[in-house]
Amino acid sequence: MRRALGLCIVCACLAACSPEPQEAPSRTAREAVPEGRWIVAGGAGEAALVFVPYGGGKEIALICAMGETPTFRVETGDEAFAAVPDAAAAAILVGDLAIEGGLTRMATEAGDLAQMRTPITETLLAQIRSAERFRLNAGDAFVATGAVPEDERDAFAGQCAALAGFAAP
Amino acid sequence: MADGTMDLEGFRAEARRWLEAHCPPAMRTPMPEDEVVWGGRNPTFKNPHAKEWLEAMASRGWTAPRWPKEYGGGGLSAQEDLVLQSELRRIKARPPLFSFGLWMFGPALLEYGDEAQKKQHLPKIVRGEIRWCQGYSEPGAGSDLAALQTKCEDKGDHYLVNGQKIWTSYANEADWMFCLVRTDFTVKHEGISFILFDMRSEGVETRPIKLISGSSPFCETFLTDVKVPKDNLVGRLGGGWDIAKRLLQYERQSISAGGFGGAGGLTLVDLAQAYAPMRDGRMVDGDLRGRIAEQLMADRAFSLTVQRAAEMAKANQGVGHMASVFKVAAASQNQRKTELMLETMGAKALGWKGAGFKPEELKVTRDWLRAKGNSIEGGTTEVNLNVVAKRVLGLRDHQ
Repeated sequence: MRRALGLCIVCACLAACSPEPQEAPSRTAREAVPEGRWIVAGGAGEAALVFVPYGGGKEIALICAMGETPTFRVETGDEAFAAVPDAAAAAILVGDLAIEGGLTRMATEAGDLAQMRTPITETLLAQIRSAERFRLNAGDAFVATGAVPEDERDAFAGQCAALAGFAAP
Repeated sequence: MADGTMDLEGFRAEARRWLEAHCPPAMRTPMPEDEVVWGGRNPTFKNPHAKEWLEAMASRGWTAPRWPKEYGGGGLSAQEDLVLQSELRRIKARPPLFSFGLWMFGPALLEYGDEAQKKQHLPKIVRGEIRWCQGYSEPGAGSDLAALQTKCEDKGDHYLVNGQKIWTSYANEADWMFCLVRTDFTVKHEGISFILFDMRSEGVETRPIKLISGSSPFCETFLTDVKVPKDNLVGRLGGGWDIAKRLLQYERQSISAGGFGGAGGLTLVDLAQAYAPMRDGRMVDGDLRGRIAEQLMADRAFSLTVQRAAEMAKANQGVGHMASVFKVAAASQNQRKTELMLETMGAKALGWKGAGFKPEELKVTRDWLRAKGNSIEGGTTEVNLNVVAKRVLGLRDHQ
């Protein structure tokens, strides 16, 4: 598992960093297979962009919620952060926008969750629409998405804007 | 019910009741790798309850919850789909079906296929009756997929296909292939078409590619004068690249996690505590203890370096060719680590199969063998060292 994770990190970096793929191949010599699918859904004062893995396992949800202060949160299974102390610094990364804050943990019917919240701003909404990748860091651990398809990002950003009372980004 | 929230709660209650009644208890346990259900004309169900579970889910169209009902899908809205997924998670239900048809080909067919093709193929995918494989890469067209050369000629009432595909996962077990072929050699991307054919067609031959770890889904597929009905062209002639691009978007859908103490699995420390002789809480073998500590420090340093590079990339301070440095370091570090794991386990790392070894022990052995490929796949260590020499260190080519 740790081997796969290590290579995963490197592959993500290769894909993200290499300007000349012909010299630093970013594709392993195999046919890639998707790990899951993205679902955009709205309702009951929330809009969600959720990654549902095909084979079970790791999951991540980006959620906008109405309220006195409309919030954006990133939520995932707590197992990735199990060894991270409660007081550890956390950050949501939306593309190259980093928002610092604290991690919250909670028990639900479907398992233990870790999440971080931040108020929705116009800057954040614009970034949600344009950023391909999202990430939750806490201590030494992280959960990161692969590239989120543009259609799904657009739809989600539009729903978030409507919930938060901003113009569509 | 006019209120959408109430509708959704009604759906949740109904889904919960149905799942409680139809998901066998045996399907609510962690799934061993050999109990994965891929379906197909000759499906295997190592766990008999898996068949029951697949049939139940397929009867509701819930193996493809969002696909339209007329093609066998569940016809669910996005919100209902999320509710269904959360209910499945709540009871820890196993996925009823693993399928390239569900994950890749089906969504593309929904978008690009004609009505007859959708009616022919989608319901069988939902029920797991046909297993699909993807014919994309070729020996000379991997990274540059659009360079593919598999020739597809118009013979009047059919197409004739000749060429070779490689790294076709599970081609030897698949029933049908969705395949990129070249219908025009005068243009690059516009000369590519997307066709479907039955793997039982005359002229289709698959050969597994064996890997040292003993398990490999990969195959070579040889296509020699394969006759393909014209109805099996998806989209327009020469329009295959658009479909391929769409499918590649599905491929990229993933997430990753990492860190220390994060992800479970056997670590060097776990293995040392379980297998190495200890005295007063310390490993007796001081040399091995030192090398394990060194490896753990190197792992941590590497992870933090990669994390820093990723942050720099996000801040538009591109790390460029440093990616080659990371690839070389990751490969050698992982190979060293798997060697250490073997050494720590002693004779327990000599297993290949059989009752004398636990599955996690066998996995360590196979991971060690699998790690041999790390310095080849994704750019060999030699190629990456050349990049480092030229682009990072600025050395000249040998004259």
